Amino acid sequence: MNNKKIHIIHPKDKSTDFLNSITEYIKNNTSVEINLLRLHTKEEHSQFFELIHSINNDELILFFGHGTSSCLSGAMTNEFEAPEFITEKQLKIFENKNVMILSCRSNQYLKSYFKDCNLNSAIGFPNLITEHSEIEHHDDPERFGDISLEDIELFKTAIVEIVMFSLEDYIQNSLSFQQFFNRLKLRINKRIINLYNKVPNKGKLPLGKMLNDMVDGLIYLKKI
Amino acid sequence: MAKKLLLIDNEDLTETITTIENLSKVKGFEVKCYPLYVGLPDGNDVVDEKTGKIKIPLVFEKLKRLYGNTRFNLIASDFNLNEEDGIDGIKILSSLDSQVNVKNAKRILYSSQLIDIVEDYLKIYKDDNNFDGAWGKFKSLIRLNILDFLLRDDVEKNIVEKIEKIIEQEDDFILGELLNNPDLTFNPSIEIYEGLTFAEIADKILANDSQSVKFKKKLIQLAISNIGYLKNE
Repeated sequence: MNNKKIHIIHPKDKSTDFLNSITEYIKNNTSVEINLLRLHTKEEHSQFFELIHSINNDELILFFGHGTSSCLSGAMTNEFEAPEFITEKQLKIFENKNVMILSCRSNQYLKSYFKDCNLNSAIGFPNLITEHSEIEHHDDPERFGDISLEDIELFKTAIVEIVMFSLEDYIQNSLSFQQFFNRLKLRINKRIINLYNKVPNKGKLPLGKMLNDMVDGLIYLKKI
Repeated sequence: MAKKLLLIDNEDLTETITTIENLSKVKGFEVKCYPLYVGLPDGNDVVDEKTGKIKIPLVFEKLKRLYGNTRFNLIASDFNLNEEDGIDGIKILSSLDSQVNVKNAKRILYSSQLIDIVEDYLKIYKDDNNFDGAWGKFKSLIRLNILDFLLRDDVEKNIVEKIEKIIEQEDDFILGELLNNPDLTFNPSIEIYEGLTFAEIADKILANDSQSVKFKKKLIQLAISNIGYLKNE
Protein backbone atom coordinates (compact mmCIF):
# COMPACT_ATOMS: atom_id res chain seq x y z
CA MET A 1 0.00 0.00 0.00
CA ASN A 2 1.12 3.54 -0.78
CA ASN A 3 0.82 5.06 2.68
CA LYS A 4 2.61 8.33 2.10
CA LYS A 5 0.64 11.44 2.88
CA ILE A 6 -1.34 12.97 0.01
CA HIS A 7 -1.69 16.75 -0.19
CA ILE A 8 -4.79 18.09 -1.86
CA ILE A 9 -4.78 21.76 -2.81
CA HIS A 10 -8.36 22.74 -3.49
CA PRO A 11 -9.04 26.48 -3.46
CA LYS A 12 -12.53 27.51 -2.39
CA ASP A 13 -14.79 27.83 -5.40
CA LYS A 14 -18.40 26.69 -5.61
CA SER A 15 -17.94 25.59 -9.19
CA THR A 16 -15.30 23.04 -8.20
CA ASP A 17 -16.99 21.85 -4.99
CA PHE A 18 -18.07 18.68 -6.80
CA LEU A 19 -14.45 17.56 -6.55
CA ASN A 20 -14.86 17.32 -2.76
CA SER A 21 -16.27 13.86 -3.36
CA ILE A 22 -12.81 12.65 -4.38
CA THR A 23 -11.29 13.77 -1.09
CA GLU A 24 -14.16 12.36 0.95
CA TYR A 25 -13.98 9.02 -0.83
CA ILE A 26 -10.26 8.64 -0.21
CA LYS A 27 -10.67 9.64 3.42
CA ASN A 28 -13.45 7.10 3.91
CA ASN A 29 -12.03 4.21 1.92
CA THR A 30 -8.32 4.27 2.57
CA SER A 31 -6.13 4.78 5.60
CA VAL A 32 -3.76 7.20 3.91
CA GLU A 33 -3.27 10.55 5.57
CA ILE A 34 -4.80 13.42 3.63
CA ASN A 35 -3.66 16.99 4.03
CA LEU A 36 -6.48 19.06 2.55
CA LEU A 37 -5.75 22.71 1.82
CA ARG A 38 -8.95 24.52 1.00
CA LEU A 39 -7.40 27.89 0.38
CA HIS A 40 -9.78 30.76 0.93
CA THR A 41 -8.30 33.97 2.25
CA LYS A 42 -5.54 36.07 0.78
CA GLU A 43 -3.33 35.09 3.70
CA GLU A 44 -3.90 31.39 3.09
CA HIS A 45 -2.89 31.84 -0.54
CA SER A 46 0.25 33.71 0.45
CA GLN A 47 1.16 31.21 3.17
CA PHE A 48 0.75 28.39 0.69
CA PHE A 49 3.91 29.49 -1.17
CA GLU A 50 5.86 28.93 2.06
CA LEU A 51 4.00 25.85 3.17
CA ILE A 52 4.62 24.00 -0.09
CA HIS A 53 8.32 23.77 0.75
CA SER A 54 7.56 21.66 3.82
CA ILE A 55 6.01 18.92 1.68
CA ASN A 56 8.33 15.99 1.15
CA ASN A 57 9.27 15.31 -2.45
CA ASP A 58 8.04 11.72 -2.32
CA GLU A 59 4.54 12.72 -1.25
CA LEU A 60 1.85 13.13 -3.85
CA ILE A 61 0.32 16.54 -4.50
CA LEU A 62 -3.07 16.97 -6.14
CA PHE A 63 -4.37 20.32 -7.32
CA PHE A 64 -8.14 20.63 -7.85
CA GLY A 65 -9.40 23.84 -9.37
CA HIS A 66 -9.70 26.03 -12.41
CA GLY A 67 -6.85 26.85 -14.66
CA THR A 68 -5.67 27.93 -18.09
CA SER A 69 -2.72 27.12 -20.28
CA SER A 70 -0.60 29.57 -18.30
CA CYS A 71 -1.90 29.58 -14.74
CA LEU A 72 -3.82 27.89 -11.93
CA SER A 73 -6.64 29.75 -10.25
CA GLY A 74 -7.08 30.18 -6.54
CA ALA A 75 -10.23 30.80 -4.56
CA MET A 76 -13.20 32.42 -6.24
CA THR A 77 -15.61 33.55 -3.54
CA ASN A 78 -17.43 36.73 -2.59
CA GLU A 79 -14.71 37.45 -0.06
CA PHE A 80 -11.62 36.83 -2.16
CA GLU A 81 -10.81 36.08 -5.76
CA ALA A 82 -7.50 34.81 -7.12
CA PRO A 83 -8.05 34.01 -10.78
CA GLU A 84 -4.28 33.89 -11.31
CA PHE A 85 -2.93 32.16 -8.24
CA ILE A 86 0.04 30.24 -9.64
CA THR A 87 1.19 31.77 -12.89
CA GLU A 88 3.64 30.59 -15.53
CA LYS A 89 7.05 29.95 -13.91
CA GLN A 90 5.58 30.02 -10.41
CA LEU A 91 4.95 26.40 -11.21
CA LYS A 92 8.45 26.11 -9.79
CA ILE A 93 6.90 25.81 -6.33
CA PHE A 94 6.40 22.15 -7.33
CA GLU A 95 10.10 21.69 -8.08
CA ASN A 96 11.19 18.04 -7.65
CA LYS A 97 7.65 17.06 -6.69
CA ASN A 98 5.03 14.75 -8.16
CA VAL A 99 1.85 16.62 -8.98
CA MET A 100 -1.46 15.89 -10.58
CA ILE A 101 -3.12 19.09 -11.71
CA LEU A 102 -6.83 18.51 -12.20
CA SER A 103 -7.69 21.74 -13.97
CA CYS A 104 -8.52 22.88 -17.47
CA ARG A 105 -5.58 22.93 -19.90
CA SER A 106 -3.07 21.95 -17.23
CA ASN A 107 -1.63 19.71 -19.95
CA GLN A 108 -0.62 22.83 -21.91
CA TYR A 109 0.58 24.64 -18.80
CA LEU A 110 2.76 21.69 -17.87
CA LYS A 111 4.08 21.25 -21.39
CA SER A 112 5.22 24.90 -21.37
CA TYR A 113 6.80 25.06 -17.93
CA PHE A 114 7.44 21.52 -16.64
CA LYS A 115 11.06 21.43 -17.72
CA ASP A 116 11.99 24.98 -16.71
CA CYS A 117 10.33 24.53 -13.34
CA ASN A 118 12.08 21.22 -12.76
CA LEU A 119 9.12 19.15 -11.58
CA ASN A 120 9.83 15.49 -10.95
CA SER A 121 6.67 14.20 -12.64
CA ALA A 122 3.24 15.53 -13.42
CA ILE A 123 -0.16 14.63 -14.80
CA GLY A 124 -2.12 17.25 -16.71
CA PHE A 125 -5.61 17.44 -18.12
CA PRO A 126 -7.04 19.04 -21.26
CA ASN A 127 -10.00 21.42 -21.36
CA LEU A 128 -12.76 19.91 -19.22
CA ILE A 129 -16.30 21.13 -19.73
CA THR A 130 -17.76 21.35 -16.24
CA GLU A 131 -19.96 24.37 -16.93
CA HIS A 132 -22.02 25.18 -20.00
CA SER A 133 -20.19 28.49 -20.49
CA GLU A 134 -16.93 26.59 -20.97
CA ILE A 135 -18.04 25.21 -24.32
CA GLU A 136 -17.09 28.48 -26.00
CA HIS A 137 -13.52 28.14 -24.64
CA HIS A 138 -13.18 24.74 -26.23
CA ASP A 139 -10.81 24.48 -29.20
CA ASP A 140 -13.69 23.17 -31.29
CA PRO A 141 -16.94 24.60 -29.83
CA GLU A 142 -18.98 23.16 -32.70
CA ARG A 143 -18.08 19.67 -31.54
CA PHE A 144 -20.21 20.28 -28.46
CA GLY A 145 -23.13 22.11 -30.01
CA ASP A 146 -25.48 19.37 -28.83
CA ILE A 147 -24.32 19.26 -25.22
CA SER A 148 -26.91 19.51 -22.41
CA LEU A 149 -26.63 20.37 -18.74
CA GLU A 150 -27.35 16.74 -17.98
CA ASP A 151 -24.37 15.69 -20.13
CA ILE A 152 -22.16 18.08 -18.18
CA GLU A 153 -23.38 16.69 -14.85
CA LEU A 154 -22.69 13.16 -16.09
CA PHE A 155 -19.22 14.24 -17.16
CA LYS A 156 -18.50 15.79 -13.76
CA THR A 157 -19.59 12.57 -12.07
CA ALA A 158 -17.35 10.63 -14.43
CA ILE A 159 -14.35 12.86 -13.65
CA VAL A 160 -14.89 12.40 -9.93
CA GLU A 161 -15.31 8.64 -10.11
CA ILE A 162 -12.42 8.10 -12.52
CA VAL A 163 -10.05 10.10 -10.34
CA MET A 164 -11.20 8.74 -6.98
CA PHE A 165 -11.19 5.09 -8.06
CA SER A 166 -7.80 5.47 -9.75
CA LEU A 167 -6.46 7.18 -6.67
CA GLU A 168 -7.79 4.34 -4.55
CA ASP A 169 -5.97 1.89 -6.87
CA TYR A 170 -2.81 3.99 -6.54
CA ILE A 171 -3.00 3.79 -2.76
CA GLN A 172 -4.25 0.24 -2.24
CA ASN A 173 -2.20 -1.42 -4.99
CA SER A 174 1.01 0.58 -4.44
CA LEU A 175 1.02 1.88 -7.99
CA SER A 176 3.74 4.21 -9.21
CA PHE A 177 2.73 7.69 -10.27
CA GLN A 178 3.03 6.67 -13.92
CA GLN A 179 0.84 3.63 -13.26
CA PHE A 180 -1.67 5.97 -11.64
CA PHE A 181 -1.70 7.92 -14.92
CA ASN A 182 -2.17 4.67 -16.87
CA ARG A 183 -5.03 3.74 -14.58
CA LEU A 184 -6.73 7.07 -15.19
CA LYS A 185 -6.56 6.45 -18.94
CA LEU A 186 -7.79 2.90 -18.58
CA ARG A 187 -10.75 4.00 -16.50
CA ILE A 188 -11.67 6.75 -18.96
CA ASN A 189 -11.55 4.24 -21.81
CA LYS A 190 -13.66 1.83 -19.81
CA ARG A 191 -16.27 4.57 -19.32
CA ILE A 192 -16.28 5.28 -23.06
CA ILE A 193 -16.82 1.61 -23.90
CA ASN A 194 -19.51 1.17 -21.25
CA LEU A 195 -21.31 4.30 -22.42
CA TYR A 196 -21.56 3.15 -26.03
CA ASN A 197 -22.47 -0.38 -25.01
CA LYS A 198 -25.32 0.99 -22.90
CA VAL A 199 -26.55 3.38 -25.59
CA PRO A 200 -25.82 1.65 -28.89
CA ASN A 201 -26.64 2.89 -32.39
CA LYS A 202 -27.14 6.51 -31.41
CA GLY A 203 -23.94 7.82 -32.99
CA LYS A 204 -21.47 9.96 -31.12
CA LEU A 205 -22.73 11.13 -27.73
CA PRO A 206 -21.66 14.38 -26.01
CA LEU A 207 -20.45 12.50 -22.95
CA GLY A 208 -18.50 10.13 -25.19
CA LYS A 209 -16.89 13.06 -26.95
CA MET A 210 -15.93 14.72 -23.66
CA LEU A 211 -14.44 11.48 -22.34
CA ASN A 212 -12.57 10.93 -25.61
CA ASP A 213 -11.11 14.44 -25.45
CA MET A 214 -10.16 13.85 -21.84
CA VAL A 215 -8.27 10.63 -22.55
CA ASP A 216 -6.61 12.08 -25.65
CA GLY A 217 -5.48 15.18 -23.80
CA LEU A 218 -4.32 13.57 -20.59
CA ILE A 219 -0.53 13.80 -20.28
CA TYR A 220 2.19 12.40 -18.06
CA LEU A 221 5.55 14.15 -17.89
CA LYS A 222 8.62 12.94 -16.07
CA LYS A 223 11.99 14.51 -15.48
CA ILE A 224 14.62 12.79 -17.59
CA MET B 1 -5.43 -17.15 -39.80
CA ALA B 2 -3.42 -18.56 -42.71
CA LYS B 3 -1.13 -16.15 -44.52
CA LYS B 4 -1.99 -15.89 -48.19
CA LEU B 5 0.80 -16.18 -50.72
CA LEU B 6 0.30 -15.47 -54.40
CA LEU B 7 2.88 -17.31 -56.49
CA ILE B 8 3.39 -16.16 -60.07
CA ASP B 9 5.27 -18.42 -62.43
CA ASN B 10 5.06 -19.91 -65.88
CA GLU B 11 5.94 -23.42 -64.76
CA ASP B 12 4.38 -25.96 -62.44
CA LEU B 13 4.54 -24.92 -58.76
CA THR B 14 3.19 -28.08 -57.11
CA GLU B 15 6.47 -29.01 -55.49
CA THR B 16 7.18 -25.43 -54.41
CA ILE B 17 3.75 -25.12 -52.81
CA THR B 18 4.10 -28.39 -50.91
CA THR B 19 7.53 -27.37 -49.63
CA ILE B 20 6.35 -23.91 -48.50
CA GLU B 21 3.30 -25.31 -46.76
CA ASN B 22 5.31 -28.00 -44.98
CA LEU B 23 8.10 -25.64 -43.93
CA SER B 24 5.61 -23.16 -42.50
CA LYS B 25 3.79 -25.89 -40.55
CA VAL B 26 7.07 -26.86 -38.92
CA LYS B 27 7.50 -23.22 -37.87
CA GLY B 28 4.02 -23.19 -36.36
CA PHE B 29 2.01 -21.12 -38.81
CA GLU B 30 -0.06 -21.76 -41.87
CA VAL B 31 0.57 -20.48 -45.39
CA LYS B 32 -2.00 -20.90 -48.11
CA CYS B 33 -0.51 -20.72 -51.57
CA TYR B 34 -2.39 -19.40 -54.59
CA PRO B 35 -0.60 -20.21 -57.86
CA LEU B 36 -1.07 -17.88 -60.80
CA TYR B 37 0.45 -19.27 -63.98
CA VAL B 38 1.54 -16.55 -66.36
CA GLY B 39 3.36 -17.27 -69.64
CA LEU B 40 4.15 -20.45 -71.50
CA PRO B 41 3.98 -23.34 -70.94
CA ASP B 42 1.56 -23.46 -67.98
CA GLY B 43 0.06 -20.00 -68.24
CA ASN B 44 -0.86 -19.95 -71.90
CA ASP B 45 -4.37 -18.67 -71.14
CA VAL B 46 -2.97 -15.17 -70.53
CA VAL B 47 -0.95 -15.19 -73.73
CA ASP B 48 -2.35 -13.40 -76.77
CA GLU B 49 -2.96 -15.96 -79.50
CA LYS B 50 -1.89 -13.66 -82.32
CA THR B 51 1.24 -12.07 -80.86
CA GLY B 52 2.26 -14.86 -78.51
CA LYS B 53 2.85 -12.22 -75.83
CA ILE B 54 1.52 -12.07 -72.28
CA LYS B 55 -1.39 -9.64 -71.99
CA ILE B 56 -1.67 -7.88 -68.64
CA PRO B 57 -5.50 -7.46 -68.82
CA LEU B 58 -5.76 -11.22 -69.25
CA VAL B 59 -3.58 -11.69 -66.15
CA PHE B 60 -5.91 -9.42 -64.17
CA GLU B 61 -8.96 -11.32 -65.43
CA LYS B 62 -7.41 -14.63 -64.48
CA LEU B 63 -6.46 -13.39 -61.02
CA LYS B 64 -9.99 -12.13 -60.44
CA ARG B 65 -11.56 -15.31 -61.85
CA LEU B 66 -9.46 -17.62 -59.71
CA TYR B 67 -9.20 -15.74 -56.44
CA GLY B 68 -11.79 -12.95 -56.45
CA ASN B 69 -11.05 -10.30 -53.82
CA THR B 70 -8.65 -12.42 -51.77
CA ARG B 71 -6.15 -10.15 -50.07
CA PHE B 72 -2.64 -11.51 -50.21
CA ASN B 73 0.05 -11.03 -47.59
CA LEU B 74 2.89 -11.75 -49.97
CA ILE B 75 3.41 -12.08 -53.72
CA ALA B 76 6.37 -14.01 -55.08
CA SER B 77 6.99 -13.86 -58.79
CA ASP B 78 9.44 -15.56 -61.07
CA PHE B 79 11.51 -12.96 -62.91
CA ASN B 80 11.64 -14.81 -66.18
CA LEU B 81 8.23 -15.69 -67.55
CA ASN B 82 9.62 -17.15 -70.75
CA GLU B 83 9.11 -14.10 -72.87
CA GLU B 84 11.95 -12.42 -74.71
CA ASP B 85 11.84 -8.61 -74.42
CA GLY B 86 8.32 -8.73 -73.10
CA ILE B 87 6.63 -9.11 -69.75
CA ASP B 88 8.86 -10.15 -66.88
CA GLY B 89 8.39 -10.37 -63.10
CA ILE B 90 9.10 -6.65 -62.66
CA LYS B 91 6.38 -5.66 -65.09
CA ILE B 92 3.91 -8.11 -63.58
CA LEU B 93 4.51 -6.90 -60.04
CA SER B 94 4.40 -3.21 -60.93
CA SER B 95 1.22 -3.65 -62.96
CA LEU B 96 -0.45 -5.37 -60.01
CA ASP B 97 -0.34 -2.01 -58.20
CA SER B 98 -3.62 -1.22 -59.91
CA GLN B 99 -5.34 -4.22 -58.31
CA VAL B 100 -6.80 -3.32 -54.90
CA ASN B 101 -6.47 -6.75 -53.31
CA VAL B 102 -2.78 -7.16 -54.12
CA LYS B 103 -1.35 -3.67 -54.30
CA ASN B 104 -0.33 -3.55 -50.66
CA ALA B 105 1.06 -7.06 -50.41
CA LYS B 106 4.79 -7.45 -49.77
CA ARG B 107 6.69 -8.67 -52.85
CA ILE B 108 9.51 -10.99 -53.73
CA LEU B 109 11.18 -11.74 -57.04
CA TYR B 110 13.05 -14.95 -57.69
CA SER B 111 14.96 -16.41 -60.58
CA SER B 112 17.14 -19.37 -61.43
CA GLN B 113 19.11 -16.95 -63.59
CA LEU B 114 19.71 -14.25 -61.00
CA ILE B 115 23.42 -14.02 -61.75
CA ASP B 116 22.77 -13.77 -65.49
CA ILE B 117 20.23 -11.01 -64.91
CA VAL B 118 22.65 -8.94 -62.84
CA GLU B 119 25.40 -9.54 -65.39
CA ASP B 120 23.10 -8.46 -68.21
CA TYR B 121 22.31 -5.26 -66.37
CA LEU B 122 25.97 -4.55 -65.82
CA LYS B 123 26.77 -5.40 -69.41
CA ILE B 124 24.62 -2.54 -70.60
CA TYR B 125 27.06 -0.20 -68.89
CA LYS B 126 30.28 -2.13 -69.48
CA ASP B 127 29.83 -2.94 -73.15
CA ASP B 128 27.71 -0.03 -74.31
CA ASN B 129 28.94 2.53 -71.79
CA ASN B 130 25.25 3.24 -71.17
CA PHE B 131 25.07 4.19 -67.51
CA ASP B 132 21.51 5.51 -67.67
CA GLY B 133 20.31 2.30 -69.33
CA ALA B 134 21.95 0.08 -66.71
CA TRP B 135 20.96 2.28 -63.80
CA GLY B 136 17.40 2.41 -65.15
CA LYS B 137 17.21 -1.37 -64.88
CA PHE B 138 18.37 -1.33 -61.26
CA LYS B 139 16.06 1.57 -60.50
CA SER B 140 13.07 -0.36 -61.79
CA LEU B 141 13.89 -3.00 -59.16
CA ILE B 142 14.27 -0.39 -56.42
CA ARG B 143 10.95 1.23 -57.35
CA LEU B 144 9.22 -2.12 -56.99
CA ASN B 145 10.02 -2.00 -53.30
CA ILE B 146 10.55 -5.74 -53.14
CA LEU B 147 11.59 -7.49 -49.96
CA ASP B 148 14.18 -9.55 -51.79
CA PHE B 149 15.39 -10.90 -55.11
CA LEU B 150 16.08 -14.57 -54.49
CA LEU B 151 17.82 -17.40 -56.21
CA ARG B 152 15.28 -19.99 -57.31
CA ASP B 153 17.02 -22.74 -55.33
CA ASP B 154 16.37 -21.03 -51.98
CA VAL B 155 13.00 -19.56 -52.69
CA GLU B 156 10.78 -21.80 -50.52
CA LYS B 157 12.88 -21.43 -47.38
CA ASN B 158 13.25 -17.69 -47.91
CA ILE B 159 9.57 -17.14 -48.55
CA VAL B 160 8.69 -18.89 -45.29
CA GLU B 161 11.18 -16.72 -43.42
CA LYS B 162 9.72 -13.58 -44.96
CA ILE B 163 6.19 -14.62 -43.99
CA GLU B 164 7.36 -15.31 -40.47
CA LYS B 165 8.58 -11.70 -40.28
CA ILE B 166 5.30 -10.41 -41.67
CA ILE B 167 3.42 -12.36 -38.99
CA GLU B 168 5.55 -10.74 -36.32
CA GLN B 169 4.33 -7.32 -37.36
CA GLU B 170 1.58 -6.10 -35.12
CA ASP B 171 -0.25 -4.57 -38.07
CA ASP B 172 -0.83 -7.93 -39.59
CA PHE B 173 -2.78 -9.19 -36.57
CA ILE B 174 -5.01 -6.14 -36.56
CA LEU B 175 -5.44 -6.26 -40.32
CA GLY B 176 -6.27 -9.94 -40.19
CA GLU B 177 -8.98 -9.39 -37.61
CA LEU B 178 -10.41 -6.41 -39.48
CA LEU B 179 -10.51 -8.32 -42.74
CA ASN B 180 -12.21 -11.29 -41.10
CA ASN B 181 -15.30 -9.09 -40.76
CA PRO B 182 -14.87 -6.53 -43.51
CA ASP B 183 -18.48 -5.34 -43.52
CA LEU B 184 -18.65 -4.23 -39.87
CA THR B 185 -18.13 -0.74 -38.42
CA PHE B 186 -16.96 0.34 -34.97
CA ASN B 187 -19.21 2.12 -32.52
CA PRO B 188 -18.14 5.71 -31.70
CA SER B 189 -15.96 4.63 -28.76
CA ILE B 190 -13.16 4.95 -31.24
CA GLU B 191 -13.75 8.23 -32.98
CA ILE B 192 -11.01 7.79 -35.56
CA TYR B 193 -12.29 6.47 -38.92
CA GLU B 194 -15.85 6.86 -37.71
CA GLY B 195 -18.34 5.25 -40.05
CA LEU B 196 -15.76 3.37 -42.12
CA THR B 197 -16.07 -0.38 -42.53
CA PHE B 198 -13.38 -2.67 -41.18
CA ALA B 199 -12.22 -3.25 -44.76
CA GLU B 200 -11.94 0.50 -45.38
CA ILE B 201 -10.00 0.92 -42.14
CA ALA B 202 -7.69 -1.92 -43.21
CA ASP B 203 -7.04 0.00 -46.42
CA LYS B 204 -6.16 3.11 -44.40
CA ILE B 205 -3.69 1.11 -42.31
CA LEU B 206 -2.17 -0.48 -45.38
CA ALA B 207 -1.78 2.94 -46.97
CA ASN B 208 -0.01 4.21 -43.81
CA ASP B 209 -2.66 6.88 -43.35
CA SER B 210 -1.55 9.59 -40.90
CA GLN B 211 -4.26 8.56 -38.41
CA SER B 212 -3.55 4.85 -38.61
CA VAL B 213 -1.00 4.68 -35.80
CA LYS B 214 -3.31 6.61 -33.48
CA PHE B 215 -6.17 4.35 -34.49
CA LYS B 216 -4.25 1.16 -33.70
CA LYS B 217 -3.07 2.51 -30.38
CA LYS B 218 -6.57 3.54 -29.42
CA LEU B 219 -8.01 0.23 -30.53
CA ILE B 220 -5.64 -1.67 -28.28
CA GLN B 221 -6.19 0.70 -25.36
CA LEU B 222 -9.96 0.36 -25.62
CA ALA B 223 -9.77 -3.42 -25.97
CA ILE B 224 -7.60 -3.69 -22.86
CA SER B 225 -9.81 -1.36 -20.85
CA ASN B 226 -12.85 -3.33 -21.96
CA ILE B 227 -11.50 -6.71 -20.95
CA GLY B 228 -9.47 -5.68 -17.92
CA TYR B 229 -11.31 -6.11 -14.63
CA LEU B 230 -11.57 -2.81 -12.83
CA LYS B 231 -12.97 -2.44 -9.37
CA ASN B 232 -16.00 -0.13 -9.23
CA GLU B 233 -16.58 -0.15 -13.00
